Amino acid sequence: MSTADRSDADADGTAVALTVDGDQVELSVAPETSLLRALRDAGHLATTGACEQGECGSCSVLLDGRMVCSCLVPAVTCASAEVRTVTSLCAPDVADALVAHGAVQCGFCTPGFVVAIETALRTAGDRVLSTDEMHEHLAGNLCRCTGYAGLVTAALEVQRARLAAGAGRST
Amino acid sequence: MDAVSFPTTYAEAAHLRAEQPDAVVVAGGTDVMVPVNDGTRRVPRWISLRRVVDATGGERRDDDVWLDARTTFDALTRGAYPTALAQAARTVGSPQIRAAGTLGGNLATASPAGDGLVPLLTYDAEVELVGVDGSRRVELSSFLLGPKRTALGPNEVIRRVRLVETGGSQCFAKVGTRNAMVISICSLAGRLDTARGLARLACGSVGPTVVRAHAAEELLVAGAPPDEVAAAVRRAATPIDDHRATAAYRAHALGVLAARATVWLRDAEARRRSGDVDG
Repeated sequence: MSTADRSDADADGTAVALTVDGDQVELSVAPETSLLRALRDAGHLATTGACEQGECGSCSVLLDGRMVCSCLVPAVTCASAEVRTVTSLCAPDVADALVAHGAVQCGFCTPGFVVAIETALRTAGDRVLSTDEMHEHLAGNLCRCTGYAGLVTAALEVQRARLAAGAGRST
Repeated sequence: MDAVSFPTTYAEAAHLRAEQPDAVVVAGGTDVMVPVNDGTRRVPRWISLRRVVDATGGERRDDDVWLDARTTFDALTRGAYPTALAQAARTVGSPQIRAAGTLGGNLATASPAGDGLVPLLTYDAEVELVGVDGSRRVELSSFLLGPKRTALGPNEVIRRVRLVETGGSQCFAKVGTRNAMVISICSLAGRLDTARGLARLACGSVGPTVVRAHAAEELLVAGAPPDEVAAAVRRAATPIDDHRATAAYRAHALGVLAARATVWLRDAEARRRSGDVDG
């Protein structure tokens, strides 16, 4: 058993050391605290939560490189993990395309969509995604404002632009 | 006591369960965290499988395929995994859920709607459980006892699953209210190997556990008309009314899936035998 990389912070919380957007942080969490709650309680407010049952995707983050719903991850299990949120994943081209296509309205789903779009483009690599494939990549993110057309169009446009610029696998 | 432990082997995880009866084993967290978040389930401590290193990944020996309990649904959609299982995995949740959710979690949760469990039944799957005194293998149909109830002992963990995949054709289909993020209203997996006279049909969300339709399998092999196979599949099901669908709709939809699967599997076998496609 390896519990060396965490210690009891106080009677109420367990200290969990992990990397968030490249920074070493220590979160104090209860056993039942989700990674989403722990991030927000520690001031990482860019990641939003809504359904907290893995349905809406607004809380999407990369956990050790895999896109997951942070609401479904017990924070104490994230000791020494590498977490990337929308804060470090939001590239200017994605942000600009979302704005240009009216894909940001109330904005609540936007952080999750940015993470999902970036993940879709990385997963696809040099392969051009069809509209249907992009829909499937973004199927875990709900948006109640836009009707998705702008989101999908923006994502496809960014992919075409990156591939044209030879940056399909940009980091 | 610690709020989390990180065993590095499944045997160590079993010992931790014995030492900490109130601890909950967690891999992806996609099922267990839902009631935790809404406050209906308390978890004082976790046994995280994140650092387990004695994994077996997709090893194949003759017709046997061994899958580690922590194999994610995302992985099942990418590797050279049995077709119906890969098809079912692609319909689970969303990219986020598939990246985290595991086959072992599907087994432990033992939902009658578990999409991974339906195809597993068609491969005569056995579940390998590791306890403090060694390991044992349990047939999947004996492992699943009812909704959220399994034969997993209090001091055991699920280590891996053995599938038997012979040649032949396979399929998976499910009915839901949309194309993503859907918990099955009913589902069906099928396997047909005409050369060996082998058929398997299993269905989900139409009874307390996923269930095999033995009589329908015989009709599928024997060349019975699709509607007769479908009727036999429906007889194996005991659907109920709930918030997702009525029993009558489930029975109807299951029959439609079974009749289609009968045609798909026979067509695929006919093409395979005429050399059009690889098995």
